[in-house]
Amino acid sequence: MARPAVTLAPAAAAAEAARPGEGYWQIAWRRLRRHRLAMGGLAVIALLVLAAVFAPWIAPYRFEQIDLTNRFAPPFSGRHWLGTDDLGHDVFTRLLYAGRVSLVVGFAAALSAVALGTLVGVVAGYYGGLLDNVLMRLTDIVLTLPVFGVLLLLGRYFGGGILPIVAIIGLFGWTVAARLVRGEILRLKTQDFAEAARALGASETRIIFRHLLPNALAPIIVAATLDVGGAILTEAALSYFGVGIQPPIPSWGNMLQNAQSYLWTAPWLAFWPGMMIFLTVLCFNFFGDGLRDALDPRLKI
Amino acid sequence: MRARWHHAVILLAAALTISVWPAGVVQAQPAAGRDTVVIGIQQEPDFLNPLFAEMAASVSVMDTIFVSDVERDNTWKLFAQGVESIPNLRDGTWKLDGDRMTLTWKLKARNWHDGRPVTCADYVFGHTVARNVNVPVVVRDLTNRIANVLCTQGAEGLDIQVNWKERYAYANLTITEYGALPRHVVERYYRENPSKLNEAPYGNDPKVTIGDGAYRLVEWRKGASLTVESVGTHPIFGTPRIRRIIWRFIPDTNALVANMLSGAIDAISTIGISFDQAVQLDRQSAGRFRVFFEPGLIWEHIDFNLDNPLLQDVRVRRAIAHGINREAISQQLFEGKQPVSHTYLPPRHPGYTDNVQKYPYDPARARALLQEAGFTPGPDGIMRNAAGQRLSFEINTTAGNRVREQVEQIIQQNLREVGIEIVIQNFPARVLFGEITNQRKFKALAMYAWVMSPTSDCDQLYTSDGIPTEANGWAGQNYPGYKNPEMDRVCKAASREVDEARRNQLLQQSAQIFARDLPALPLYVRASVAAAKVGLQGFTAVQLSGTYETWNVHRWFWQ
Amino acid sequence: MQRYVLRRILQMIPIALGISVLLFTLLTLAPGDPVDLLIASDPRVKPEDVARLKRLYGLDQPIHVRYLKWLGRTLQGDLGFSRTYKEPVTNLLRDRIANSLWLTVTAFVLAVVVAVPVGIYSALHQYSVLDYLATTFTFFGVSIPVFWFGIMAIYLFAVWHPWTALPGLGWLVLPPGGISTPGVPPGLPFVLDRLRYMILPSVVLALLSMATYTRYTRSSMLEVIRQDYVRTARAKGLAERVVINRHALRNALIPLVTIMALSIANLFAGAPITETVFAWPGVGRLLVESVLNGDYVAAQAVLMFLAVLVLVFNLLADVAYAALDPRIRYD
Repeated sequence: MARPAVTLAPAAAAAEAARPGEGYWQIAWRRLRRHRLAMGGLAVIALLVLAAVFAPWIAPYRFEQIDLTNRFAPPFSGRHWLGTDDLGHDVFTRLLYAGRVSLVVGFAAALSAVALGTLVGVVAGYYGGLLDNVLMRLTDIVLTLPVFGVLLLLGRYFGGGILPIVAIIGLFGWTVAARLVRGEILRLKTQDFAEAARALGASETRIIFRHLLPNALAPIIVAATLDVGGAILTEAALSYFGVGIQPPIPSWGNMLQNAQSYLWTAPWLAFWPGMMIFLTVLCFNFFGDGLRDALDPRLKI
Repeated sequence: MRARWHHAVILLAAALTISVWPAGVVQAQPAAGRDTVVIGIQQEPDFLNPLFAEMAASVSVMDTIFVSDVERDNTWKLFAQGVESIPNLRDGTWKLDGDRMTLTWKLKARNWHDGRPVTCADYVFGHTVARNVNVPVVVRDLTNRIANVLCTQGAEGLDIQVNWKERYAYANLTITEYGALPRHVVERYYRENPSKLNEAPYGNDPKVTIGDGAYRLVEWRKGASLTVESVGTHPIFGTPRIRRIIWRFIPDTNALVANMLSGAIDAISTIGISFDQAVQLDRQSAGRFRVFFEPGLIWEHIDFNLDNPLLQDVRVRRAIAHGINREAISQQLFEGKQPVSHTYLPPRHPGYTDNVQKYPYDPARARALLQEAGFTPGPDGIMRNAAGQRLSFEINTTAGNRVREQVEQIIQQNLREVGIEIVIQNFPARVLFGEITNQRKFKALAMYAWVMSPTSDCDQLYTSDGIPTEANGWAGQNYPGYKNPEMDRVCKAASREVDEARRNQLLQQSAQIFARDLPALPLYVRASVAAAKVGLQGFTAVQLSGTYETWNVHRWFWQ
Repeated sequence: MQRYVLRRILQMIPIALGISVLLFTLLTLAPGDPVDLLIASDPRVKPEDVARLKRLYGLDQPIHVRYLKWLGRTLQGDLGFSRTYKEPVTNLLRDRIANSLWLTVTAFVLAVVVAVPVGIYSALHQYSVLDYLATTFTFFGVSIPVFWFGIMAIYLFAVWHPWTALPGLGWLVLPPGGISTPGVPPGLPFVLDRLRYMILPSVVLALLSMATYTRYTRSSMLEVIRQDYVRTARAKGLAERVVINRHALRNALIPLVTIMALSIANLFAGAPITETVFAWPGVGRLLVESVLNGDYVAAQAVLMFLAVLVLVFNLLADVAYAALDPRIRYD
């Protein structure tokens, strides 16, 4: 979604981040544990993941179960906790299953975006020269594109299922990670340990995968975490415009879209899905922020 | 801090759940005076030039600016508006000559809004422009069937003779395809650049866009509103009591509802809100306005792709029909306001008959039919035949159309109970109609609507030459791929039959064949919805092709 | 400096061309050409009508020829004719930009007026209650789904508005969407009416920028007050007010100006959701409508407009940065 496309050049990572080995992650974990908002966010995310995984056991109804005689039941009335929608679906059940979709899309899209970005960043940073130039111009172009409009366009033609949505979000979300990784690689490849590995005759792949990437992991992880929230928001926005996940598969975005037409008579339908999106994205942002502070306080993402 | 936020959420949630819409300030009075009607409309007209008007909103507005040759009233009955009488075979104003035909018309005298009389020459000019291949007119169906248009009493006269190249059943509904154009105004633009005639001032600029109707275009603020004013006493319409009509373009349907509730508009056009919103609006009307539900011409159905081997068996198609609770969809989802349909013609169509094979909801009968066709329930509850093929069908419809998505889910649940699996896969309208249905790429079922007209028949729709193929450029509307020589014969005969009674008989026959063979499953007839303040008299929710609520504007008044 | 600006402008050209090729290809290859659709929707349309119209509109030519023609026309200022709005796209875009400006400018001003003081205060009073509130707010601002926030605002102020039961508050009902009340006379009543319609969408639109600016103001300010020259100024015994105003604030605002310049373009690009929820006929809504309706002539123009806007504001941001920060030299 319209997250500010403001990316500051990655600052040089703190000295301790450059030191490989166990110690670094232990320090980070200790620091993370002290971060209350991040831990709160993590707890809620864990809860949401559990709810999504165990949805079939938690949900009181089948998510596609229709009850035409019981449409628009208000919340806390009768057998439906959060009421029913325009087809008599149980809203609570739909929220649980929609959470599955949103989380899967969020994780998968963020992962593919970061993976693609890492690939581009590594290639551009390590090989430099013309390749670097071409890839960075491509990054400029994608960063300049009105991404939301392009996503709408692609969503119109390929949307509907989970896989295409993941693919199109990933396809346009890699630029931040690419620039970040490229900067890290540029910095790392001139450092002693990389030079040493090269002098010892290590292969290029070995240098990249054993020496450079692990050291650039911290910013990649932070970018991925923050991207999950962004991807969830994007999916919801696309579904809200009717080009994302299609019914009968529930997603928070399409539930919200559906609810908007009943704002006058059944306003509660619009409340819950939006609240879930908000809560989930907020938790990912809390967690990502804490993670950044823990892994590398001077990192600017 | 977090605790406080939680309180706020709970409060908000509770508040949201117990809320009721309070009846606002009641305003049943006209929004802009007793000589004015303000209509809220969702679309904005494209061109107010009969040649290029593609949008329903344009047709609706042009009904007030132009005289129609022959018009329909709200009961779908035809009457002569701009002509003295409708040509017919009995008095010889409609003559058949082998395959060719000649129709003789006499215009009622009236003037263009600038005072020049409407003459035969204006009709000839309109026809000439429509025939020019460089003019971006979309439909040239009648234009291509007409051999020529002649002025029998001179160019300035009122007598017109139209010679047709071929027999056509509905030749007496309009003199030419697009009627008269004010030649003295339009000819200049036409000579300048025929290929950009649609962008010319005529049809866009109120100063030069003149018609011959009871009202004249006075203002068109793009994106905001359009105003027409009565020309005073009109030779055909007399003196309207409503002097001014203002259309407000409100593209957002929620805002349209809000404007009706606040009294800022006097009526909502049939080109306005959705069925769902109309139902909600009706509940909030509180006696201030009436919401109209009028069964119309739009016919929702499911096409069976007859290339699908499982669907080639009529028993499977009938089982699907018996397995879907269409009555419940109509009663519960649509509150009985959109009736179940049993044939391809809407109930008010002159060729409609109720005497067709019907498929009431009957799961037991559906299962029996499937068993008869060789299907038995598998371990997953889905029926399969001896070859092991499961009865699993993909259904496609337009993504984002909520009502269709609702109906789809009900069908999915209904058919599961008789052992048929339905897999939902929807496409954006442009993909569905631009690729999937018209190139017959749908795997099994396609749900959408046909917009019929009072003159629709089954030619091209269910005749074998109407099956779209690559060779014919994907032309034709027979998307199921239905082939039946008997149907071909009846439909072809109906489209050429000029005698109305005999034509209707043929159409009834075609409806019976259709219901028996079931190439498509009729679901329901969509209702046209509109709303008007109770004080506005004469308003009707008509939505025919070419006739909208504005057909009798000159007879509206405030009470 | 002049050479730097000139070089940047020259660099923009290949990027703009690349974007235009990319968008044109995407839009042209997308299925469901409006003319093809005619034949599917109207039985009276014949294949020869489709062929005739495609020839009239130039759609029968290969894609590179169409692109070059489009480029030629666009460079002459002719953006084509929209077949769904039936209007020259140039006029369409002009009207929509005017409408969007009302919202964008208001939202921007709103965001700056709130964010800058709050960010400064937060930085100066780190770990205070207000700092904590402000920081949490920035998280809310970037996490809330705009469309949901909009819908909830509509519900609260246009549908439910429980406070209207209280005496004196009956006027506080806001319109659920749209841009003005039908038939309001021009002049002051028109402006007042327009303002009423703008309240909800501009607040919703401002939220994201507000959160971003607050965050950047705070971190930028924090960075500056830790630096030597601020410490020196303090050590010299200058009054805190002078230190902050004369030394810290000035330097902290430099990166902020960059961020703001960059985000104005994003405010435009971020408006599609807000404008759609509130039925505001601006550029964003035009983007959504034209893409969803398959009006590729209009969609191409809007997408291109937004891309160029981003390029121009990127340039402005860099120029502003160079002009404001004495440490940066470009040669």
